[in-house]
Amino acid sequence: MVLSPAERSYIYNSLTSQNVARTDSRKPSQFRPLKASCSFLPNSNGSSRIYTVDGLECITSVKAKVIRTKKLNELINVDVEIQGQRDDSPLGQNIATMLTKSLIDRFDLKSLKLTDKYYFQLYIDIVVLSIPSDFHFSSYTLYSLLSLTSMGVYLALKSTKLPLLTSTTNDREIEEEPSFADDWELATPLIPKNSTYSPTLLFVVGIVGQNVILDPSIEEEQVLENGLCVGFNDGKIVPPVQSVLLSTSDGKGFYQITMFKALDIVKEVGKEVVKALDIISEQDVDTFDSIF
Amino acid sequence: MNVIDRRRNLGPADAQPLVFAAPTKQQTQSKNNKTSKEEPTSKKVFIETGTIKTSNGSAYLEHDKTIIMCSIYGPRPNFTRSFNDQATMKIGVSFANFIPVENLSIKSTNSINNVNNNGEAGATTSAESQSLEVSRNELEQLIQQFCFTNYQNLILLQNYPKSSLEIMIQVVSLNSQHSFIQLLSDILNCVNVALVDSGLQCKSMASCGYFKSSQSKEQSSKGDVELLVNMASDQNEILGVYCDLNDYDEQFKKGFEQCVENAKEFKTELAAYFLGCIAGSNQ
Repeated sequence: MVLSPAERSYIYNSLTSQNVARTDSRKPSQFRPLKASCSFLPNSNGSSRIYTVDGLECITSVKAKVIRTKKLNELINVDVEIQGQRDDSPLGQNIATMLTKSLIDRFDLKSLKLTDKYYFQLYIDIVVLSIPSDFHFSSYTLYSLLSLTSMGVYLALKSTKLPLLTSTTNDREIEEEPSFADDWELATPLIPKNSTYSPTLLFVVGIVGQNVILDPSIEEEQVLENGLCVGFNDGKIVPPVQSVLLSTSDGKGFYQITMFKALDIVKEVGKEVVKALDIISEQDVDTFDSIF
Repeated sequence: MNVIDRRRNLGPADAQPLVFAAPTKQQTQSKNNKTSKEEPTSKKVFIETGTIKTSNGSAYLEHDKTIIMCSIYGPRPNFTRSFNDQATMKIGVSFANFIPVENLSIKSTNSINNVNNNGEAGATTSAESQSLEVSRNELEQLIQQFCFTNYQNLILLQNYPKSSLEIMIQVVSLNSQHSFIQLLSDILNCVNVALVDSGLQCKSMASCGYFKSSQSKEQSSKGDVELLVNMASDQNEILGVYCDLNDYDEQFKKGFEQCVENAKEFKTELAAYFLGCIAGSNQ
C-alpha cells in the first residue's frame, strides 16, 4: 500500500517517539506471527515453507549431489527467485550472495564430506511468492526478505536428510566412487540432533530516529530511515553486519549508539528465534511418508 | 552543474551561473588511518578531481596500487512517463576486464582444515578454497547496492525533481592484497570526493574510514575485526557500515570507534585539500 504524506508522518512520529508505537502494536523486538512447516517437497532432501501474516511466502528446497572437488566454496549454492522479478534482478542476486556467504562462513563442512575426494554439494533454491502488487510504485525495497529467506533456509537445512554412505570413507590410495544405501529409512540428517552447529540466521533491523525495530512490516519500511542486516549464529553476532536500504525516500544516517542498540536487540532476541525454529523443525511430520 | 534549473530557483534557462572559484587541478597526497605514530596502518592516498571533463563531477583515487575513477552525471531531465518527486539515482560499477576479480573473493572464516575430521596432518589447503568466489557481476551488484544505500541518504534527491543522477564507478587497477572491504572503502571515498566536485546538493561531505585489527595476511586470525564506516557531517552520522567480525564484543566496539576516528581524520585531510584548491584558484 502506498502511503499518503499524512499516513507517513503519523507512522514516522509513532515510531520515533520515546515509547515506540508500531502499526500493529508489536514491541520493537517482536516478530510478526509466522507459520512454517518442513519436509513437504517429496523430491528434495530437505524443504521448508514459511509465511507471514501479510501474505509473503517463502518456499525453500535443499537438494544434494555428489561431486569431486577441493573447492569448499562450491559446496553450497543458493538461488533466490522472487515472483515478478527478473532472475538477474539486484534484489534476488544480493539476497542470494549474502545468504551464501553467511552459510559458508560457519557451515559444518564435515557433514558434507563423503571421502577424501568426494563431497555432497547442496543446492538451496528459494522461491518468494505473493510480492505486493504495488512493489514497483512504492518506496520499500523488500530487503526485509533477507530475514524470511534465512529462516526458510534454516528450517530446510534442519530437515535435510542425506542417504547413508555404505562405501569406505578412505579413498586416498584407491579411488572409489561413493555408494549409498537404497533404503531411505536409513538416511541420516545433515544436522544431527546432538550437533552443536546451526545455520546462520539473518535479522533485518529497521532504524528510525533513535529507535530500532525488528522485522519491519511493509508500512513501517516506507518510513524507515536506514536498515541493518545482522547475522546470528551460536549465540553470537556474526557477519554479515552491514547497512541495507529498506526505503528509497527520506533516508538519514544513524548514530553509533543506535547501531549498538540494533546489535544488542538481535543478540537478545536471536536465541529465542532459534529456539522457536528448532521446535518447528523437530515437529516435522513427513506428510508423504505418512500417506504411504 | 547544469545551468538549467528545473525548479526555476536560479531564474530563466539562459541565466549565467555564479562562479565563485574555478577549481584548479591540484594534486594532494594524504596520509590517513594512523593508529600509532610508529606504524602507519595504510599507505598514502592520491586524489585528483575534475579528471573527466564531460562529467559534472569526477575523481581519481589511487591507494597502494588500487586505482578507482568515479564520474557523476546530472542532474539531467528524466524523460520517463511517471512523475518523480525526487531525482532517481543510478549507480554503475565496472571492473576493468583485465582485473582478476578472483583475488577479490569475499573472505570466509571457514576452511578445509575444519573438514579434516580424522586429525591427520597434510590436508591440502589451497588459498581459493578459503574464500567465497563471487562472479564479476555479483561483485559489481554488491558494491552498487551498498553505494546506493549510502548515497540515497546523503544526496538531497528531493531538491532535484523529475531528474536523474548517474554515478559511474570504474575500478581500473586492483592490489591483489586488498580485501573486499578495503576496496569498498576506497570506492566510497572516491565517490565522496567526486560528489564534492560535482556540486550536487548533499547533506554534508562524507568520508569513509577503514579498520582492520591485524594488518597482514599472515597475522590474520579468526577473531579479526575488519570494518568500514561511511560518515557524514560533523555530528557523527553514519551512512553505511560493513563489518566482518567474530562477535559483538569489546574488540569490535574498539575497532568501530577506531574506524570512526579514521573517517574523521580522512575528512579533515579532504577538507584541507579542497580548501587548498580554492586558495590556489584565488591566487
